[in-house]
Amino acid sequence: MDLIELKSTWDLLQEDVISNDMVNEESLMTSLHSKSKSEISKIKRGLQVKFVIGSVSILFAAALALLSMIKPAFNPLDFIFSPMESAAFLGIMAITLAAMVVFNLRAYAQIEAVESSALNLKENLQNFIKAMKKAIAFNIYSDTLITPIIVTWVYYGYAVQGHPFDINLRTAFLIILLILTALLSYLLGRFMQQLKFGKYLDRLCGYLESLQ
Amino acid sequence: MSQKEQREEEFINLVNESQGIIHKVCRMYCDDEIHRKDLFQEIVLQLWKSYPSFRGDSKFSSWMYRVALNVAIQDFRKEKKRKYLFLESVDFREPSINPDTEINDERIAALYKAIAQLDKIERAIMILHLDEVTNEEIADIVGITQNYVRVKMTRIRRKLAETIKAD
Repeated sequence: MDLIELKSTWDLLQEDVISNDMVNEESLMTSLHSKSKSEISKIKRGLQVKFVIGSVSILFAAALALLSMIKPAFNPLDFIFSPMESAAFLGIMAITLAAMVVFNLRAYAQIEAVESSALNLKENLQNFIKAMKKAIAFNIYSDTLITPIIVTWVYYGYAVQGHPFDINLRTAFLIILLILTALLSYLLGRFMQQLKFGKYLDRLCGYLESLQ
Repeated sequence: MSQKEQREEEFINLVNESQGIIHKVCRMYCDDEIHRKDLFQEIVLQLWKSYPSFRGDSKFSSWMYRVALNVAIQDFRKEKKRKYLFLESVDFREPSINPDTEINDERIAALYKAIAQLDKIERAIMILHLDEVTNEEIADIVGITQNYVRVKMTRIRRKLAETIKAD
């Protein structure tokens, strides 16, 4: 079958489409209000969930930090921290979460921008890959930030608290723990994202390359 | 009728008139009926999301092709692949027309078989070419130069010729 034959068959296909595939306006309307199953929509929904959890946690952590400072008797982390330490811990958590929420919003906005545009195939692929990479980076770095803070502070509460701050084995271990947890969280996060989206991104990058 | 409803109706009317484009794209990128329906829904949804970007400076059909092909190119069938302890790696299979699908017309079956040999980008260019879209418009939709469209078409012709020879 050469190109000319393909063209005549294409006309035949058009007739087949008209007689078999056409849907009515009602079906079109249903499609319009359906839920997207695309990979990017799943990433978007994940970002939305993280945004809600992050925002609520910021408010919660900031309120508790403030309460710990104003009313030392009310110390939510009494079992490991002094009121000042609780305030510092919760304050750091609130700031870290706020940074994450900002990054989250930026990744979300980039995806929205790609979705609402109708660029040519090449530009759309470029922007789509960029937006996906940003969302994936958010997932990796949010874990890399939060996990070490929690682990290190908990270790601090149990092992270092009450001892004068000095460069000793405990403090050295605290720093090593911080670095190690951050490194492990980063590597695990990267591995997980690679498992989930690595092949998908590789294929899209391959298509983009074929258009360069 | 609210403004939103009016806009929806206007959009549905426009899509309804040219819905053949979406169906043709779905036929060329899907391997079964369920996938075809899913992709159709995804394309309509994406057309609606990007509808505000349609300002009428290009043909509605060109705009529709651009969005539909973008969605089709980014769409893959998910496949669970290797297991790492309790984790599963996800592979994304490139959906392709199944040449063994029962098609009443032999010529359409042959067209499917030929298109199945092409990758997603080549398929996009091929669909546009078969639909008699000009090289200038193809270049605009794909985002490459007209020269590169010609180069791509030569490669596609060669690929198709090899498929025919192999048969």
